[in-house]
Amino acid sequence: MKYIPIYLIFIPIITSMIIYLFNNKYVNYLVFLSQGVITYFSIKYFSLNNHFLESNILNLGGWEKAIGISLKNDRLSMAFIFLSIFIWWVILLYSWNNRKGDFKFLFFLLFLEGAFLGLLQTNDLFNLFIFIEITTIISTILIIYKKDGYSVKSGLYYLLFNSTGMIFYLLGLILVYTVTGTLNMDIAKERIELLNNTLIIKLAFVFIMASIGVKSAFFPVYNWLPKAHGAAPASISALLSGLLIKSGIYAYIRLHYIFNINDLNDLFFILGILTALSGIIFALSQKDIKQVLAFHTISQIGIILMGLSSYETKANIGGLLHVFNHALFKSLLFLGSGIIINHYNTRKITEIRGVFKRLPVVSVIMIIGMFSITGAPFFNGFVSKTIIKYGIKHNSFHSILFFIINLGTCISFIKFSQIFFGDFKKTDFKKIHSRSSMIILGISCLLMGILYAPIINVFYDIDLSFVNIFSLSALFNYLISLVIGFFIFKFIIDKDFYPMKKIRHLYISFETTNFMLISFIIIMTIISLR
Amino acid sequence: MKLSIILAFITLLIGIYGLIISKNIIKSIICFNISQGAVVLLFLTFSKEYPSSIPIISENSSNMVDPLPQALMLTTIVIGAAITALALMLSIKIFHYYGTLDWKEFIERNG
Amino acid sequence: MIKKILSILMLISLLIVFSLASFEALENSNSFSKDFYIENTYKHTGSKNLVTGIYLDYRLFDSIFEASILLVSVTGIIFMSKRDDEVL
Repeated sequence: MKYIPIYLIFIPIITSMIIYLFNNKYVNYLVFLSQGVITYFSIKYFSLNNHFLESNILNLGGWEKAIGISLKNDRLSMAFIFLSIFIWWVILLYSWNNRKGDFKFLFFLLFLEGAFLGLLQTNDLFNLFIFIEITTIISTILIIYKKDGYSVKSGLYYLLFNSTGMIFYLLGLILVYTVTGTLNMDIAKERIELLNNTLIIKLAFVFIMASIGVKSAFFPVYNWLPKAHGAAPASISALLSGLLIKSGIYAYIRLHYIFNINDLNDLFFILGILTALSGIIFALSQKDIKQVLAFHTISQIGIILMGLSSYETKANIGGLLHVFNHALFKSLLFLGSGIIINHYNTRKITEIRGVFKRLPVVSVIMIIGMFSITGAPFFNGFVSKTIIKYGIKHNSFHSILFFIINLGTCISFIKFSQIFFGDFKKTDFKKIHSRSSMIILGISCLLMGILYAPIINVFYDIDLSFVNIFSLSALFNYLISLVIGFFIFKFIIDKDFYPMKKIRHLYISFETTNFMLISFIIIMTIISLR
Repeated sequence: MKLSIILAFITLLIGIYGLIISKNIIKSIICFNISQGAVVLLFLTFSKEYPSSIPIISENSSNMVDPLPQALMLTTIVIGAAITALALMLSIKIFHYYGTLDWKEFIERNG
Repeated sequence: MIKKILSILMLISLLIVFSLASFEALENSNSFSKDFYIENTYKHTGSKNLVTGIYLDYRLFDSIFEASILLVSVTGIIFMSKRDDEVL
């Protein structure tokens, strides 16, 4: 059973090729068989290795460690593997009714799963580059799947900008290879420690962090995300925004562990705050459902970065936990909005009314998702946001900014919840597809909110019982922020002033984005060389 | 040796400058290709000392160049070609739908 | 106009920093993997061309996925170029 990491990568890829060869409606049911086999293998692998107290390394081909490629699994990667297999089950169940006979869609979807599971397990710097490029190419093809004008424009922007970002990754890689003589992540970490922070290592770190910043949507270079996630079909939007954006965060954690440079932690904290604030400001001014949710993804990534880049351990754990919670509730919101858009045939918030009467199950689950993202007690957003709040408690200015970000999220979702009331007058409705996948996600959000302590104990061995979900002060804080948000919404946002119109139509074209990428690199170089 | 590293990096900077100021989609794709080729050149010049020979074992025993960056660059060239092909296909589709190949004219014609 | 001048200045400063770093890297370069490949490739793999030995034996995992990138991009281009009334 020591070859299970290889089975996890290659079983989806071979299944996708078999499905593409026989264009037959009944061979498509092979998808569920392969998903079941992968789930069984991953659970067996987790329980056989003594819950991964130390990491498990498999050297491919039996070559020596510093020369060949190796695959490494530890607790972090196993948690991500379980999350990704779960989300892929949900996406398959959601889109099965429409795409039963569409073998091309299933080919790309399963290939992406194999490549993503490979990205999570690799231990080699150049192999990480190849997996990131495969993920970019397949995501582009899935974004342009509907083949209308808006999708094709967004897909081209996404492809070119991400590939430009990965050029800088190669520049950092050549500097690391010349100085350490190896491409393996563990051995490079040991040799970099002996070199003691010279100019070479700092410059390589700056280049690699710039490319990882493009991939995971940090402050100056996030402009590809609203266009790409707004233009994709609904299930692909949920997959991209819930899971594939976390590949950048995963690479950030791994590369930060190798280089171990702590001078830039303050810069990343400030970047996290700026990302979250700008995401909220843009989200308040949009009128399209999917654009609102895409800008909220940017601000939640800012919160995750605030958690992961601080010096305290508690905030790190809070940031990591928010990665998993965000995947659950953001996929829920995107899948629900997909059903709503299909049913009503329009995308603007101001025209959709009366969801609660027509689609009761969907609206209840969307309300669960909205409580999770704003951080209500008993739901899973509350747990991770409270842990991050404890971590930054000693600096009062940061706490005030964190409160403002949460307030902005509340305001925006109060605006979003207008779609539930009222009544709708049109009479042509299309057929709605299955809701069982959304029910699964809603139940898992509730479970993570109530039973978080035993689940985290199994994975990470950390005691989280200091987070008290039954405390009255937390509930009181949440209600106060809801009330303040409601008043701000009524008197300021709803009137749609002129600055809001300007912000909504702000469009940063391709050349300006590249200019921001170069200035991002220069600023990081100046700060790290002081 | 040092001069060749500086020249390869200047080529990369010319490609990036082209990405910053070009207003046409096809020019952006060409500048991306220039940058990708310059990175390949930079990788290959980092490990060459004079005199040295190609990494094939025959009767000479003088210095050999490091063979690992050359193997990595075979893969990188293939990735660059695949991305260029996909991007050109998308630009053909954009021309069918919008009638223009300019990055900034999409705002007016929001079709 | 301002954008052009600013970008030229930033790119020139990037050139200066990178050349300083790379000259320093060339002086203390680590040739561990180069010595390993020159010594052991003929014994382990049987090929006299070292690049072939690395590309197809030590790093076969990379080569498999590079071939699959070609497969995926060609499939995507064929899918994109069909007209809408011909889509299966």
